[in-house]
Amino acid sequence: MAQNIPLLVGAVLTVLVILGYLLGENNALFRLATYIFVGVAAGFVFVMVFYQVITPRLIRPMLSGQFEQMVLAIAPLVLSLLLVFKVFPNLSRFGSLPMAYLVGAGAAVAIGGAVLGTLITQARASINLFDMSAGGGLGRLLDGLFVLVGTISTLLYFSFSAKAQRSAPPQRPVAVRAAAGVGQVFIAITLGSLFAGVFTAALTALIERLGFLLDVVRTMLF
Amino acid sequence: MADILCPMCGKQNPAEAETCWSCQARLKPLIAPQPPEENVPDWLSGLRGAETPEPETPGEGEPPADVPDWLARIRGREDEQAAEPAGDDLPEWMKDLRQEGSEPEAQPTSDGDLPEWMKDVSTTGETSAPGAEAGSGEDALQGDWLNSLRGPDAPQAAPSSDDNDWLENLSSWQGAEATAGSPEESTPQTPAESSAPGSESWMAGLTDWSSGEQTSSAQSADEQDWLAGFAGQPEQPAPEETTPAGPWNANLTGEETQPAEDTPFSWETPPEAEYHPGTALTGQLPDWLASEPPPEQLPAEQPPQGASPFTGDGEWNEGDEMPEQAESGAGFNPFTVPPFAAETQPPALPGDETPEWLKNFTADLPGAEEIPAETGATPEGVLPAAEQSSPLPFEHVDLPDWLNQDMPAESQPTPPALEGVEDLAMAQLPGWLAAMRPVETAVPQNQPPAESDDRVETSGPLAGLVGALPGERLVTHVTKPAAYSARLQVNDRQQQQATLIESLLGEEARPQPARPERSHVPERIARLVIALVLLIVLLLPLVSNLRVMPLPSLFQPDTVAFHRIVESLPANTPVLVAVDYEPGLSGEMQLAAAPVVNQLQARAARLGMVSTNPSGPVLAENLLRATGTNAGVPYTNLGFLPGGTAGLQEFASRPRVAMQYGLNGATAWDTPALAGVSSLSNFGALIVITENAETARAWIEQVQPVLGSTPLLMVVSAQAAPMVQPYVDSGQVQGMLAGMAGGTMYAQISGQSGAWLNYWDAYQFGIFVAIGAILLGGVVQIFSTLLRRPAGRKKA
Repeated sequence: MAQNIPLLVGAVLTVLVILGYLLGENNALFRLATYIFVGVAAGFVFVMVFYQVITPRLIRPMLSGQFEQMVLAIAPLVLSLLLVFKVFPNLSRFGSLPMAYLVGAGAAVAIGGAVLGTLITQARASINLFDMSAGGGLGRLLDGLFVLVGTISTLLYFSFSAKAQRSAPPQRPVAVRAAAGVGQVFIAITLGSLFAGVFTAALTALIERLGFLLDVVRTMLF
Repeated sequence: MADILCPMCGKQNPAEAETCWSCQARLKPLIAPQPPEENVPDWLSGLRGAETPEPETPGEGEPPADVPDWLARIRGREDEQAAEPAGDDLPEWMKDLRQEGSEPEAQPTSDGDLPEWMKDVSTTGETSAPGAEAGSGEDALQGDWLNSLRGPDAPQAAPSSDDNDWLENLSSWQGAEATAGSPEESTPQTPAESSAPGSESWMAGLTDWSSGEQTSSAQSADEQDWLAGFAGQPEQPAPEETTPAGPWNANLTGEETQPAEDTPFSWETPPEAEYHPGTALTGQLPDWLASEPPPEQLPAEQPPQGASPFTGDGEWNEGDEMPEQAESGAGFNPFTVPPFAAETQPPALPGDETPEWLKNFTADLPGAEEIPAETGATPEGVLPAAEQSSPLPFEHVDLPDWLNQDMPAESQPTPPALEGVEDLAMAQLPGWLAAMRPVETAVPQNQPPAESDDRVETSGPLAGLVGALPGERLVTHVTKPAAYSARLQVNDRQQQQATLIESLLGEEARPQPARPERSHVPERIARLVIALVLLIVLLLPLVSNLRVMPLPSLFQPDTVAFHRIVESLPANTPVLVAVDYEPGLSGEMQLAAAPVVNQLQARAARLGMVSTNPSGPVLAENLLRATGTNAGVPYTNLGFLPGGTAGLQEFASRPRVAMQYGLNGATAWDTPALAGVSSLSNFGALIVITENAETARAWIEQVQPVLGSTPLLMVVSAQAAPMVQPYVDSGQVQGMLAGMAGGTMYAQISGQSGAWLNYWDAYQFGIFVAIGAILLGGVVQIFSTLLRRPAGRKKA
């Protein structure tokens, strides 16, 4: 019975969340479940960070007795203490150093990864579609054309430059407008696929929760 | 233009000023306008003697044409008085004067061409100072101007080799004047003059009077000495407080040494052919004398105000007969009290200090009682008509009431003045001045009535003055404060603009009608209906275990590739699984990843679990427990990898340093699951389970380049699959499972069965319900639009 308590609590909260949201966003049961989830998640994250970050990366090296690990641990310790000064407005300038380090290192890593891992790679992949020597035949070529048209038309859709006219509002050239229309179709399909993916994900989660509830009920009853 | 000294404060003022700029004392007394001819007092009329026949001027058969009749009559009368014994009604001093004046006629003199008054002066001087032959050489030049004044015959008649004769005459004459007048009225005597050993008693008395003040006068007993000192010792002048340097007495003292041509006075002697006694100086008559004749006989040019009484005519004695006039006629009368007189003499003589001779004189004069004492006893009509006119340039202009009220009483135009200037053209008020008129609304209408400024001070130092500062009245006068109009003076245009602004502001301040709040009841009903339908549809296959919907038989290439890679993993190969999804989508991700985990367990793979999400390690444990692989498969949960993309970068480059300890706190890399793994490329495959496209992209960008030949597989949520698909197409991701459908396909391919198969029907039903709801919503929207258009057209 005791082992079923977590299941029971989970089931109750699930029902409260689901039924509460159906009754309205300002439903007290829905808000209660939301607060519980936020509180549990914050506490869980703190415990996880303490045991997974602070203890193995700061406390253990400081208590290890090894000079190298201790010295290496001083740097994050000092930076962390300086970061605490961000709480105090008068001393916030001392926290700028670790913040600058974090932002600079994070931006450098993100930009480098984006350029090497996404921009160049994706551009090369689009170009390779027209590589007839790679095989694939006409279908690969059409696939490449489709990607090309979709990419160009989508980019032209976001091109809002237009020439000013005397007696009419400014309009883009006809070719640009036609390409933008095609790009609009691609964008609509992309957004539709994203919406379908979101709905599918939510539907799957709902089905899993309903199956969980049925399992709890079956467990409780049978 | 000579300035006027204020009799009160002694400050200099312009000649045209009426009041002192410093003390505001009146400089020009209130003098009645020039009366007509009939207003001449009796005493003056008697002097004129209209019916008296003109006596013949000695030496001349006919009077000069340019001499007015009245002057000729006056002179003739004087001649008669000099010839006849003094009347009984004359005062004693007048009798003395006549006796002295008659002596020259008895004695034959050579200056028969001189006027009688000059003869009197010279004769008196000769008789009173017979021994005036002494004189310095410089004095020879001093008598030239006087000789020229005497006329062409004077030098022969008066042998005046002694140049001090004129001084002697003058001193004697002054001595006579001092006898007749009071000491206050007489000109202060110089020590030399006061010390003159006059043979007459009055001169002695005068000497005694002046000796108290002049110490040097006692030293000179000789007549020649004092005359010499008088003429040649300007370095011993009289004290300034008693004899200020007036223009006339300056010539009597030190300035006598100057040549005649340097004298400031116009003593020019007319040519002999044109010289006529009594007429040579007619053109230089003083103003008071010139104002006596009728206006038509007035000279063309008026002498400047404040001119010296010695200006040419030499009839300064006439002023002695009217001392009061000299006191009050400042500004207009040539006998204006000179500066020295203003300082030494009081402006008005108290009645008890009036000398006896003056009392007798004024009493004997006919019509003397008619002279007002407040006005300085100046005879009416002594001022020219032009000067008696009102000083206001716009006196005939219709001034506003407020201005007339504020105008002082003395400045109000008097009827006589209007008669004198009636021929003047009406002054026109300039436009700019008219524009400066204050509006009536800005001026209080309840101004107190103008107070007549005719009040005469009866006590204090200002006694006898008219129009003194009315401080008492101002202090005691209480007036009602002026009421200013609060109404704004605006024109029509400004009023229109103000109205427009007011209307605009009124519209802004006017509360806008609140829009009726849109009812959310239909939406809530629709949401409840859809929710109920969806729940029913989803619960129905779950509860009934129906297998209505067929399982997928066509598989995506990505899923097939994924399966092939997993199937190609050698046994006991370390596989790194990144559990990076949120708890909210754990249901989907578990359904998608469970077939893969089962496949790995079947392949006896060693699992290393890592997560960049704090809740990831727990979800990883839950995933393994849900699949039932946690018991039979060696795995190591590395736990949470902090740092985001930077942490991934470090983990990709140095996994042992980035994740030294596992979730349980033990060293992770020494566990059986991760034995022999020093880098990520040592893993047989890297499987990333995430519901977030950004997380999948981070793994692809940061970790995939260092994997080398290790395949990167993705188990993503259905919502992240479209974003990860390009990386699959580019070859960066070798295999991908998208959502529950991808897991089901993978299970279908791998021949697995499980609980996820029970959810397939519910999943398919839910998809159909969603499609149906979308279509239904579109149809409703179309019909609602069609129904709204006719209504809108009708309204239009």
